[in-house]
Amino acid sequence: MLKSKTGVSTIEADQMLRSRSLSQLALIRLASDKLSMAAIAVLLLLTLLSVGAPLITSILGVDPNTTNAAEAKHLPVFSAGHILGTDNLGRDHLSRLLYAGQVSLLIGFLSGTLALVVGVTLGILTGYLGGILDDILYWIITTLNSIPVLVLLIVISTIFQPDAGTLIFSLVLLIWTLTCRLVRGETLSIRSREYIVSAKAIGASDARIMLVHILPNIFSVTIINLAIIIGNVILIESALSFLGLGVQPPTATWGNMLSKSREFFKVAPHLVFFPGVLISTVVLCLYIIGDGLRDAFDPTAKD
Amino acid sequence: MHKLMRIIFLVLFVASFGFAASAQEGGGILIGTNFGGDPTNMNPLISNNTVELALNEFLFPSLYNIDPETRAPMKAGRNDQDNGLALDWTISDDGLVYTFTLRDDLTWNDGAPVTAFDYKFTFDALASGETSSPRTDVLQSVESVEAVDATTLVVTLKLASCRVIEELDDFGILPQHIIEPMLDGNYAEIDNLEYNKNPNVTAGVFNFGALVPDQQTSLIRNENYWMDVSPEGYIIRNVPDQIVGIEQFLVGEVNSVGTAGSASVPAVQMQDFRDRAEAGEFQIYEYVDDGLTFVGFNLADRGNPVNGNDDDGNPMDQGKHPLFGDVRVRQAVAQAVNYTDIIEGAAEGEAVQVNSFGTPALWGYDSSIEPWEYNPEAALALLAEAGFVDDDDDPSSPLVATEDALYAEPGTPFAFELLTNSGNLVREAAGTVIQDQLGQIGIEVDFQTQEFGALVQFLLGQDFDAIMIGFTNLDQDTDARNVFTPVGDLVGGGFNFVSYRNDRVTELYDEALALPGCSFEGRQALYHEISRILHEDLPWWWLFAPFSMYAEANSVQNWMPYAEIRYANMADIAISP
Amino acid sequence: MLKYIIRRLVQSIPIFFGITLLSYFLLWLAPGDPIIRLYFAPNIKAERRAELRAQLGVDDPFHIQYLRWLTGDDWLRWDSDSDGIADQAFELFTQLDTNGDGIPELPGSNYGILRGDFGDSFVRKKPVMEIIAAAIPATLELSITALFLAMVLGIPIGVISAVKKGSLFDNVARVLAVVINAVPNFWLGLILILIFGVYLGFVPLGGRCGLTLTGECPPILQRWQYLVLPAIVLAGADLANFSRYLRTSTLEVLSQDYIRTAKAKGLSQRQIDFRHAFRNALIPFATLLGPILTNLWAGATVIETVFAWPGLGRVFFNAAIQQDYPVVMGIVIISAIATILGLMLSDILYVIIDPRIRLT
Repeated sequence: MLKSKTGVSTIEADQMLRSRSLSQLALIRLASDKLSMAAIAVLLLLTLLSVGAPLITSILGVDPNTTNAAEAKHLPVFSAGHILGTDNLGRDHLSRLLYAGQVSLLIGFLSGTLALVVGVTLGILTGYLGGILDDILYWIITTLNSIPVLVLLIVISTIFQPDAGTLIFSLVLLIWTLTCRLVRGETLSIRSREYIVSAKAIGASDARIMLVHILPNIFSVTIINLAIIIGNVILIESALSFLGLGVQPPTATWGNMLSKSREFFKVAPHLVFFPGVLISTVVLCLYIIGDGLRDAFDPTAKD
Repeated sequence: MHKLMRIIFLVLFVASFGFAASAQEGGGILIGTNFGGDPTNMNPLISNNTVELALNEFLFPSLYNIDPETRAPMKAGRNDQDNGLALDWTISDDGLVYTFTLRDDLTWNDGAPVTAFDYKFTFDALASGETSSPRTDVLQSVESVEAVDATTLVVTLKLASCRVIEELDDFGILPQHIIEPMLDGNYAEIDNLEYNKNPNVTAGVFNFGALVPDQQTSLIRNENYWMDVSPEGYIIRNVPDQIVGIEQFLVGEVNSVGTAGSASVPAVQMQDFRDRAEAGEFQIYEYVDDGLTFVGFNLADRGNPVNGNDDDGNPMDQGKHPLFGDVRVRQAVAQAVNYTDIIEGAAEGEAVQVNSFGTPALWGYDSSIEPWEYNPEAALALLAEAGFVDDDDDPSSPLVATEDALYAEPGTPFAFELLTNSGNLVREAAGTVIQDQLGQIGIEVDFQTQEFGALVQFLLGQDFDAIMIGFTNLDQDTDARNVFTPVGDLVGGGFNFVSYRNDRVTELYDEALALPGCSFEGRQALYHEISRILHEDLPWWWLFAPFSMYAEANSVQNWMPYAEIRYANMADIAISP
Repeated sequence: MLKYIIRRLVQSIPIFFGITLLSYFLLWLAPGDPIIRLYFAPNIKAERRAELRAQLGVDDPFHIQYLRWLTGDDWLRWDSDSDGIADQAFELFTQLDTNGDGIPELPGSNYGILRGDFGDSFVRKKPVMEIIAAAIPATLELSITALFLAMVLGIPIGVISAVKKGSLFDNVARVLAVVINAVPNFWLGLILILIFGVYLGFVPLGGRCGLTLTGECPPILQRWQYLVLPAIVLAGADLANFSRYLRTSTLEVLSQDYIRTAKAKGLSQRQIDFRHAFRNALIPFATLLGPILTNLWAGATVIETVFAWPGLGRVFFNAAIQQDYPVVMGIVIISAIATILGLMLSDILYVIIDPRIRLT
């Protein structure tokens, strides 16, 4: 078959233009959604605060690990030198929350993103190429999906003592299937569309088709999914901590701070309040962003 | 029986209209809360956790009664309510033969008498070594147990032991006429009897009622007990979340926080409980718990764990831990932390510092020894003497060893791993404080929590630097040969996991255990001497013993609690509606 | 239809094996000597330990252990008349040597999980199936109540939100749906216990049956108070999901041609809303139902712990922390089977509700 150079570029240019304008349109729509923008702002702020924890704590002159149980434990909010009070060992609560946020957000974002990368790669590859590889992948996905994530995590956590690293690893191992299943499905439906068929007909390589034609088209699906998955991961971490199986102290996460401080809810309610509110806020923001993205990419769902 | 049925129906009826009333109007049912798992094995030879042991106490007869005040063996027949068998006992002059005279008026709830043969059967099952019973201490000194007749029991020892009397009462007595036919002559079967889950033939204040998994375990009044039993029954409710369990007590859904075997008022709530009890809302009883929290320093080379003695009893070369092999280092560490901080942080101030092995509640404990005090300057001076100095004037980097260090290579930083089991908030808090405070004088602590099973493997395998654990339910007898002499220094299974060896201590333990006549004062003096040596030697770094608090609703009447014995007079307790 | 169901069942066989392989593999990875974990008693004799090792076959290679777990070990010798002596006719089979040590194995008493024998619990010393069966009524009670609540409240909320799009009701419902999903459920549970149990005294603080000496559990109507809070917390997330899905799908349906046609035909707005829109909006809902049905108990692990509810989730969690692997694997596999069946059920529902979909 004759290759028409111009023909290829026309189709590709058209395709790229379409997808770019779709994303651009979506971004514009998202920017006009005040709720989503507020959620993004809050999330960014909390992330910045956590990342800047060393700086902030040094400005405030507090340290998350200095104990002073004899003189300064269970100090209430707005105590001198401790804006959010202190915990049962007299440690500054604000700085602990910030450092714990680093771990919690890292667990959420890293495992969510890694799972996304694995899921998208495998999903496009097998969805596009099909064959025995696809069958095997489908088998693995359905197998993993038929056992709830929390259940498998409990089993894994009782066998291997989890720290942040192993927790992220096991989370990725369990949740990539959620994205992968979705991407595979999308790829399957895109694969048979006209422009793919014509791109193939004019000799575009498989890699090119997957990267240039399929990947941009599943972008919206995966990005919406990502926000919700990260939110769920943060909730799962806190549930594991409640069961005593999450990241173990001395490493602090919002989840284990919340579950440990239950005991002190009468003498120091702020110890229970803040971690709980932070978890809920972050997850809420992620859900709102997910919703906002969906509406932005799929205008029919909105109006 | 009909009365009981009526009451059960009443409970059902009331439960259908008002849940809160059901507990209160149960008509004499005592309700406790269990924050751990269900009892899974109620066989008194095998039972292991606190709730199982608590149930054993009310179901099975024992060799003798215990004086609730001193917790010393007590002859039956006085104003007690227990089901101990021994009316009297005599000890031969060489201390090797104990002859017990037993009462004959105690019966199993199927009518059969409880006899010396039952005790012999239970002991033989234990001695067979085929069961997984943990109560094997007694086998170290007992040669044989013989039942001369139904009321005469003769115990012959291999070697004189002053604590054998206590060990002989380590387990409840099984009904031979029920258990033996189930075994087919194979004692190993004891581990798997249906009876262990449903001990239907017993001889205690209560009979076993029912176990509803993850909900409750109940005991029902034994109508055939040798004296009148007042309470209708005792229900132990399973509540996985302690916070919720405490609130259940405060709103009146249950009568007591914890079970007969555990106090369970969390330290952080004790002050509130004291105030409320003073205001008359409920009753409390406080005591110093026999639970002990300590850090064990590995004195030997962790890279090559070997037993204390070889098979012939000769000492083996165990190497030295680069840091803790030197006693000055251990003493420096013991002076480098502020005990007030540990006790406030880990136990909310509801604990006492202890100075040596044991807790103030035990008779062998020498209260006159001054515990180690917080003195960072002295600690640093001692460390400098032991060859550990701050080489760069940077307080955040650890001290390093110089040429003077006894066992550490010059240049080795003073850093070690401190392990404890995960899920124990008290130890997590204590470890965090220790990590922070040692860090301030230049000792870097890598504090880690391990799942209990994994921790036990490090501990028994003697592969650790320092480990923080606790002992609870210490025996009243202070003998601890297994813990602080080379006899117990067995890689993979011994309690002397820190590899401590001090020949004087070994000698004193042997002497105290075999003291002719077993005079209380004589033994006490020897244990006090041991305590002083251990205090200086610091193979274990003793931290604190917590306070315990029983809390009981006002509806529980005639309640007589003692330290570690929650219901000394269960048969007399009445629960008013 | 029958053909379709059979085909789906056949398709799920490899998934079932995947699950068994995965769960056995996880167990096999567990560090530590299983004998020490099982019988932690320093005094256990070496011979007894060796005997137990042989009995449990813990030294056999992975595939042998896995196969034995699947198929049991009772068939290692054929004994058709149960007289304890292997049949002569099956001499060939009586010499089976699965672990290759040159000594044929004696028949055991395990039937293997393929025949429903998950062995005995290490801790409770009871058949795993018996333990699971005992916990199922409580689990069903809680999850069905929660599902019922979620549907009864979630569906109308979703439909009304769609019909009154943009109204105050719609906005409040949407915000609440997201918020409920975002709060850690154990936290929510404890807060509700404090408010409704401790301060207001409306409901008991956990448990299922009330306390009796005989341990009997009265009929559910007499103890509904115990069920209220855990069911609400468990229903919370699903309620939110239901209403969101229903809202979206109702909106889609409302914008479609046949609704416009119906409107043109003169049907009233209300008739259209509830006759046409509702039925069609149920279609995506059917796909949601399967996973939700089977995820209910897993989500309940945490809630059952907070509310002291004696269901499968708690049995599972206790077994997991006690390393009682037969129970853990029994529950994982049985719940996976339930999930597979649940997904199948939702596909079938899908077909029933939406006649446009043909079975292929």
